[in-house]
Amino acid sequence: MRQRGWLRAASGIALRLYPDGWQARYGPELEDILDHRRLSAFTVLDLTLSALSAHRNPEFGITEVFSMTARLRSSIVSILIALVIFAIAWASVLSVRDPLPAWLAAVDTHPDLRLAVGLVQLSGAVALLAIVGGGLVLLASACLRRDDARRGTGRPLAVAMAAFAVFLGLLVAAAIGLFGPLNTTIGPGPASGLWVAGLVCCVVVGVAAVARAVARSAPDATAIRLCLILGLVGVIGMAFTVIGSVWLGAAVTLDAPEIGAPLLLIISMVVAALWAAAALWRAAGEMALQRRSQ
Amino acid sequence: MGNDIGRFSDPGLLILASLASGAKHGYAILEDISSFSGVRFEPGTLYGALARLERERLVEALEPAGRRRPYGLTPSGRRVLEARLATLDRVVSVGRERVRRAPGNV
Repeated sequence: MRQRGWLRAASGIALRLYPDGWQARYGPELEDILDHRRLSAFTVLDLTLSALSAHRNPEFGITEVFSMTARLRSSIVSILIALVIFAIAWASVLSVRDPLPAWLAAVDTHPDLRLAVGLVQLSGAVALLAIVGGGLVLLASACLRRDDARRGTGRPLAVAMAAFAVFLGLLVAAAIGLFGPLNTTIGPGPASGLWVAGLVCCVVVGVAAVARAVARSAPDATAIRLCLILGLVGVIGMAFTVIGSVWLGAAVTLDAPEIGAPLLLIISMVVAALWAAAALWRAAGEMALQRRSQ
Repeated sequence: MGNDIGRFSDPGLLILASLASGAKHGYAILEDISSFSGVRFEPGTLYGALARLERERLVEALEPAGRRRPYGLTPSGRRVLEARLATLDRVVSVGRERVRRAPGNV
């Protein structure tokens, strides 16, 4: 369609007023419409006002894409922070069996206490392992993709791997009954406090290392997807841990009040699980949005 | 007095209604909306609304053919459209009924 030259030229100038990202995304489509549609002064005015509006509300510009990446990163870091709170609460809830004689006496009369603790142990360990594993995947990806401008992820990887190794060692040692609060038969070992402190230290150090590396780099989409899948497993594990903890708290309150239900710890665990679930939901939404934008 | 009734010419709603019959690129959306509603949007308004709908995941961009990129309704876009149309249906039926019962319309 033949356009009046000055209207087409003015429309082209108005198009240049859009944010760069907006132009890259919608520019060719708008050019196509301008080439095929009868233009008027109102078209130029509409484009100019819309361009100004796009600067105020970049619905889909490069700024938006960058902020989506930032939101994705912050969601992942948020999940990791929730994990720290969860780990502290989980490890502390398991110390409900301290002192051991009182616990064993309560379990003798109320065997459901042992079942509740078992559920808390298993699901909590799965949640921690899944989310820590997701963090490691992300960290490995960040290290592989590092470029000249963003060096410095090697040390966080080494620190996180060391923390993960100690973390696994603590879980295994506790599970086979060497010490710590995981073995339901022997109850908390002599170094239960040390075990809890060690576990929490590992999680805090590992999370800090992963968060540092993630903030410095851009892990690829596959790693983020895998991390989110492991995060989902972790959040499901957290949910079961919360269920087990509430069950344990109710059973202790009703059947063995002399032990004392760890209510504050259970509430902390619920908050951490909800926090992680919300962050995971947000991260999954951002991921879907990014995929759609590509 | 003009005949613009605000929300009934909401670009987002009209775009969703246009895409309900199948994916369309920008120019086809403008032509379709003009044909079924008489509303003639300018390209800036169209793409401002399209970007918002895309951001809200009510429409999705499909593979482009040259400079033209078709857009399609997402399942949530279809649900939103159905909900908005149901509201409009109620408004229309109540409005008609009240106009019919108005004192001067016996």
